[in-house]
Formats: sequence, structure tokens, C-alpha cells
Amino acid sequence: MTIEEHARTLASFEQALAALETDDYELTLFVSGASESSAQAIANIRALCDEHLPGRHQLHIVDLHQQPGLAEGSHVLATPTLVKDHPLPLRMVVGDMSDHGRVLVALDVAGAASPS
Amino acid sequence: MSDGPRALPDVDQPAETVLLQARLSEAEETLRAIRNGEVDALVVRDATPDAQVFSLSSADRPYRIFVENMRDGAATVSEAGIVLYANRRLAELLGRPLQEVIGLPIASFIAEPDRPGLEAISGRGKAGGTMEAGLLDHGARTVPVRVNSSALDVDSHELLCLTFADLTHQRAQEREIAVAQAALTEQATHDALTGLPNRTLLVDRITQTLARAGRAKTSTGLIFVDLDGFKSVNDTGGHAVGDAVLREVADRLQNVVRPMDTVARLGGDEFVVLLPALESALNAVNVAQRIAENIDMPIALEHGTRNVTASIGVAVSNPTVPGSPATPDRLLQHADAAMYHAKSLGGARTEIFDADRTPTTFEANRKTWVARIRTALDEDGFELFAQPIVELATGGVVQHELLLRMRDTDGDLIPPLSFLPTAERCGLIGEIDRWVIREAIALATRGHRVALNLSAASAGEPEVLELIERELTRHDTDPGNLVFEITETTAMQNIDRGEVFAARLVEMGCRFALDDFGTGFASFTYLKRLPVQYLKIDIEFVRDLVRSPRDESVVRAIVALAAGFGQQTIAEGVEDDATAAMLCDLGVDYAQGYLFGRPAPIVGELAQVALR
Repeated sequence: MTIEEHARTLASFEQALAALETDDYELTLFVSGASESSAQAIANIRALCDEHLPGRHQLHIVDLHQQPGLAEGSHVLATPTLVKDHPLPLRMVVGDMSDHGRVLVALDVAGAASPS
Repeated sequence: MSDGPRALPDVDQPAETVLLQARLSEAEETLRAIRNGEVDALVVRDATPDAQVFSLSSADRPYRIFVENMRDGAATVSEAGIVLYANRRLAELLGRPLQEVIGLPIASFIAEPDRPGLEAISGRGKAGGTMEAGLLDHGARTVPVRVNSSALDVDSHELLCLTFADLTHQRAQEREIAVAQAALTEQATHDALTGLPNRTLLVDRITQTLARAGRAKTSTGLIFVDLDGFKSVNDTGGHAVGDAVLREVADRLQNVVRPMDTVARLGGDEFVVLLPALESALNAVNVAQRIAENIDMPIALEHGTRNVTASIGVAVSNPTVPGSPATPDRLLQHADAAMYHAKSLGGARTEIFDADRTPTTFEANRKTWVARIRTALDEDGFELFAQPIVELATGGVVQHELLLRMRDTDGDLIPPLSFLPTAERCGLIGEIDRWVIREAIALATRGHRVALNLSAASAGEPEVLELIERELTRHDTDPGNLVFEITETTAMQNIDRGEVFAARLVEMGCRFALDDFGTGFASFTYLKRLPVQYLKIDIEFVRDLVRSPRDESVVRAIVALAAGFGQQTIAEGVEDDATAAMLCDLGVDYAQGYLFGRPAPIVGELAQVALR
């Protein structure tokens, strides 16, 4: 293996590592039907993700009324609750997500946020 | 991100403490939201596998259950077009789990071309309306749905309620009916064996050609081709050989003529060629000669070859010559007479119709038939035979069809095809019909369920309706015992009259059957207007049912059609068990034919099962 080849391999390895680091946000929003708070939470979190995490997030929405089994494994105590599954650490925000600033801080998104 | 805060567990603290802190902060976060009134449901875990969800306001519970169990898909959508709620049925229609439906733009599930339409009935301030659209399911299939949109005001937020009714089944039915219509139209106008136009289509083409010829002052030629000794081909070689010969002759005829000409098969070994826009009669004779030469060439078959010849009759209509045949019937009669002349001279030759030389036995024949019918009417020479109609599922005889026979003065029994055409032309048919009606009502009065045939002349006659009503009242007859059969062709001749007639009969309590179904030109629009209880599937589609996939598809189509209109089906001409079994499988309700009983004189009472 020549020096150049070695350098190239190293560079691509670092690139792959960097990609792992900047992995997409994985968020799950637990709601309860189309109640006022849940509806607000869905609308708010979508707007927030589109603004601050465009193309870098996956948002799952779970209606616990229809799929109560999906609450298993989480510590959700009430709805609406937003859980950040990735990147670690696991974080959760409860409520209608109307205070965008608070949600961003709670999810550690503030540092990654684009200027707004 | 690499330089962002990564909350790794503090190595100074035991893991339990870290977890406890996390739980505590989660509980605090939840309590904060509850205090602010942002929480709508609490999640409680116990020994059961599923967490229990308790809505803080349960007023909507009954509606939720209702919506969850709807047969249609349902969703509420935010002003921005985001799905806030979707029921399970919608997720099912979309072929995705619910969490891949909620929170996404509703437009992303609608087929591209339908999106503007959806916007039109669901956009801001204009919610309300219905449209048909394609739903994109996960496998990128499009599911046809009817979308209904209505506005929903919740706490000053304008939401949208959408429902999605699955049209897949309905579309499939529409397609089936369209296929059935196409098949029936093809069947009604073409000969199944050769694919050539049949008599119905031929007469239609002659009519059009004569009309055009009258305006353009051109001649029209008609060539009648009848194979010589074809019966012996069938008898010695079997039907397969006979069919192969007929197909070959059909091909050769088509190769001889111009694209504008029509080659038709009338049935059996009879073909007719229609030649529009001729310059002179000589052209027709030339074509006839070419036909004769072509038919004379040996026909290659699977085993060896066959030679056939034809008797050919030529007739020409020339609008500039007085007395020249100007109707399809007339022109056909001339060509037919010329062909007979050729045949009577030994066959394998061509004759041209000549009013002075061609013997027309037709006229002479007709006179004697009129006299014989008259005599039969005056001297009680008509008789009704009865043929049982059975329910295929049980084999029980549910009714009898009454069939007319004429007893000649010498005691010979004459089938209806020999005298009915003459009776219809001479106006004697009305009298025969009235006799049949009286006899049938007498049988019905004795408790027999009978089906009787009415001619085109009587169907729609107010006098005939009066007679039926009078006789029913006079004998205190159960009208339900009577089924009036009218051929599809008759019913279509004057649809308005037919409709009134049928409606009046049904109003009286009688039943109504469409006879020879599939052989006429019944349009579905008309069919819908007739209050028909039974469609009788013509023997044409029953005879070779077991061997012919084409007939099978026609029968299948008729059954589907009848089911769509809430009618029952009766198959005619069933002669063997295999056919009966297949008809039963195809869903045909009733059948008649030699298998169940030949038409027989009515002696004593007719055996029938009690109706359930």
C-alpha cells in the first residue's frame, strides 16, 4: 500500500466517522388522537423540524389511542410527549410544543440550529 | 455535532443515581405540562402488556369508537394540510402503519393528478365537497376512492375532516359490465365460428348501403352463396371438419372482395356478400364468378383435402330501374331465389335473379300458409305443449313454458317456425296470441305456473293488456302464476311501448321474462328500464357451453349482468348433465331443455314443486 493510498483510506475512514457523528435526529411524538393539544404538538414539531433540522430528521408520530403497544419501552407518562431517540442522550419534552425555544434547548438542538 | 454536548454518564456517580435523575426530570417535565394544561391523556402501565391511555376529556369516546370502526377511511387534517388523526381503515387503504400516516401532508398520499382537485375541495376557506381520487398505497398502487371533505371548527382552529370510500369493488363491477356489454354486442352482430358479421349486422349494412345508393344512384349487388352437399361434409368428416371448411370458405370470400364489401354468414353453410357502389350489374356477376372459382379450389384439412362447390345467386338493386328491390328483405329474397334456382339446376353454378325467369315459389307458398293458419284458428287447430323449467340447484320443476304447435287438417304437427313468420306478416299473429293468452290463463287459474310467448305485434297492444286484465279478473287467477316472455328483439323494437307494457303486466302481479337474451341489440340503458324478472339465455350460448370458452364468458357476463339488475337467469336448450352442472356452477338459476323434458302435450295436470 503506497503512502497516497494509505492517506486516502484514512481520509475516507474519517469521512465515514464524521457521517456517523452527524447522524439524523430520530424523534418520536406520542399523541392521543386529534385532541387540541396533540394536534398543536404535531403542527408545532413539524414546523420546528422543517426550520431547524431540514433533511436531517425522522419524525415518527404514534397515536397511543390506536397503538397503545408502542408506548412499551418508553417512559412516556402523558401525551403529547416528544422523545429524542437519537442522538443520545435520550430526552423528552411534554406538552403542545408551542415554546419552540424551550423544545430546541431540551433536545440539544440549539447548537445545531441554523440561524433564524 | 462532534463538538456538541454529549451527555455521557458522570463517572463519579453510580449508574442508579443517573437513571433516577433522568426519571425525576422526566416526571418534572410531565408535571409542568399538566400544570400548563398542555396534556390531553395520561399513560398508565400495569401488569398488562399494553399501556392504558386515559384521555383527560373522554367526551369524544363514543365518536372515536364509531370513527375507528368505520368502513371508510377517515382523517382530520390541519390548515396546513398535515394529517393530525387517521383511523385504522385509512392506514389499511394506504398500506402503511398509522405512524407513517399521521403527521405527514395529506397530499403526499393522493395521486399527483388529483392533488389540485383535493385542494379545490379542502383548501383554506373552501372546505366541503366530494371528488374521486387515487390513493397512493405503499406499493405505489393507486386505490380509487371517493373523497368527502367537510370543515370542522375546533376552538377557533379550522380543521378538515376527510373520509375515503374505497371504490375498488365498484370499479371492478363497472369494468365487468363494460366487458359484458362489449362481448354481447360482438356476439349480437358477429358469427362466432368465422368472426364474420351475422344476419343482424348484414341487414343493417344493406339498409345503409341502399340508402346511400338511392342518393348516389349507384347499384348494389348481393351474392348469396350456399355450399353444395355441406351436410355430407359434416356427416362424413364430423363437425370439426365442417367447421374448418366453413372457416376456409369465409377466408376465401373475404380475400375475393374489396375492403368496402361485407361478407356475412347467415348460419349453416349460407354466406352473403354485399357489394355497394357498383357501376353495373356485371361487376356483381364478375365477383360471383371469382367466388365460385375460389371455392372450387381444394380445401386443405388436417387429414387430406376436401372439394366443395357452391350454388350462387346474384341480385342487384338499381335505384334508376323501376321495381328494382329497394329493401334489404326484398334484395335478400331475390338473391335467395336466384341461389335456389342455381341449386335446383344441380348446384355448382351461378344464377342471376331475373323477375321473368327465376321461379319464386315464395309467393305461392305464402298463400297456402295463410289459408292453413286461418283454418287452424277457425277449427281449433292450435295446441299448447309444455316444457318444464327446473331450478338447477334442486332439480325441482318450478314452471312450464308453453309452446305453440299447429295441427294440420291431416293431423300433422307443425312447428312454429313454419307458420309464425307468415302469421306475423299477414296479421294473423294477434289472433293467435289472444288464443294463447286465454289458454295460459286457464292453466294459471288451475294453479299452474306457466310462461307464454307473445309476438312483437301483441307486446304493447293496449287491447292485449285489457284482455289479460279481464281474463285474470274473470277467473280470479293468481297473476303470479303467469310469466310473459318477450324476445329481446321484440322488446327493443319499440322500447317505450315495451316498457309501458312490461310495467303494466308487473303492476297486475304478473312476471316478465326477456327471451333469447344475448341475440338482440339490447342496450343496457334500455335493459335497466324494463322491469324484467328473468333473462333467458339463448340456446346459442348453451349448446356448446362445455367446449366453448367464448360461450362460457358470455354466460358468465349475462349472469353478472342479471345479478347487477336483480334478475334471475334461465338457460334454454340444456341437453346433458355436464352442461347443466356447468350452468349451475356459473350461477344460472333455472334451465330447460331435453335433459329435463321435451315439450309435450298437456295431459291432465302439470307436475310442479311448491314454491318456497
